[in-house]
Amino acid sequence: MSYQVNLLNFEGPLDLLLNLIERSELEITQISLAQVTQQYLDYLGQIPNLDPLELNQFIELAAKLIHIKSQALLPTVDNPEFENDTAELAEQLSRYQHYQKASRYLQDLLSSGQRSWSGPVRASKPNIETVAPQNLDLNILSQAFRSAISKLPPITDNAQLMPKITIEAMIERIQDYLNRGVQSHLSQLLDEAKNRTEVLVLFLGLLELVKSGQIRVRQPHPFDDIELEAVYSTTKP
Amino acid sequence: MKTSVEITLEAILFMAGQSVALNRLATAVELDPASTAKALAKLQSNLSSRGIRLAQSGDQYSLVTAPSVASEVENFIGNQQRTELSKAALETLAIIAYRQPVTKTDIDAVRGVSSEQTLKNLLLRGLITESGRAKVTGKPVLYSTSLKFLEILGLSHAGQLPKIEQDSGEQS
Repeated sequence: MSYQVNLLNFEGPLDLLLNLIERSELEITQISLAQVTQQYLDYLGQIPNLDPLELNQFIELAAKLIHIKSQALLPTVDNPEFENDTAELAEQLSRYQHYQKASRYLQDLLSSGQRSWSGPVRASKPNIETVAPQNLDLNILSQAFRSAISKLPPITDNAQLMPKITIEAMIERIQDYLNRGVQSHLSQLLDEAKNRTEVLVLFLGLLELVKSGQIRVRQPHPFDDIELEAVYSTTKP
Repeated sequence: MKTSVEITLEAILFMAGQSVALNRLATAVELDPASTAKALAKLQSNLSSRGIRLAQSGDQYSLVTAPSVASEVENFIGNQQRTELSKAALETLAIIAYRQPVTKTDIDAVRGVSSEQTLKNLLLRGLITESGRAKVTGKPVLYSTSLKFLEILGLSHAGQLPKIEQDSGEQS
């Protein structure tokens, strides 16, 4: 009795449950709900990747069904709250069944092709599918492209074209600088930097020199200019 | 005298070429809305066997083509406009159509799932409208079907929807 049904065809847990009950040609009662519980759980086990929120709704209903079935199997304890829950579910399911019927009527009406239009010639709304314009061909398109490009400003950012300074070169520059006078300030070096790239490389070069112990950096007071000092003020060998 | 009111209404609705609200029609024929509505009901019944019918949804009125000649009209327009609706859309529409006006919470309670996306779609397609707010906490939006809904089903008003046996007894 295993049906190859794609769970995703069901609009939700109620849809599935109703389907199971109707398929068994049962009325909606506590008994029938208990009877289809196993089938419902079986289907639940087959669900492919469902959105957690949707899955949650299926599981919520599963819990109710299991409860109903357990009461049907062990009717020893009188539980008025349970009676209410069961009646509620049965009623909800009936109501859903009622509107499923109504939606089938609507579908029949739709399929019958009987419909009206309001307003004169405006009745035909333009088709939403895109239609290629008539006067378009490859030449026109490439001309348009060329003229669009010609309207673009030329690339004037020369920084793109300048040779970049390497860290090694920058390190040499720093050392030369420091060798001219034993102590210098960072601000002087920054003033010499021609662009943003040089500032960055200057910073990297300084860090490298500090790391290798070739220069010392000092800041006498907070926010003072930073002093740089070569550890050996002699020229390179 | 009554006859000329109907004639006037018919002419105005034709010229409007789209739906007109009851109040505007009432002003046009210089009557109060209630009397205008009565005249419109008469007009609707007068037209019920013609090629043009009077459709009414809420306070909106519109002249529409008779559904029985839909295929001929369609041929004339030269435009196949088959409406496809998903199962979820149909369920939601059915609930709204038979219980309008109704809130999203009511709809969700019947379907057992969230109808938020479906409602958005139906609003976009112009098949339902927001028709006010419920007088309960939070004042949630109420939904009703639109004139377009009637048009695609070939109905003149919601009362023409087929009755379904086994009414759950909760008609609002």
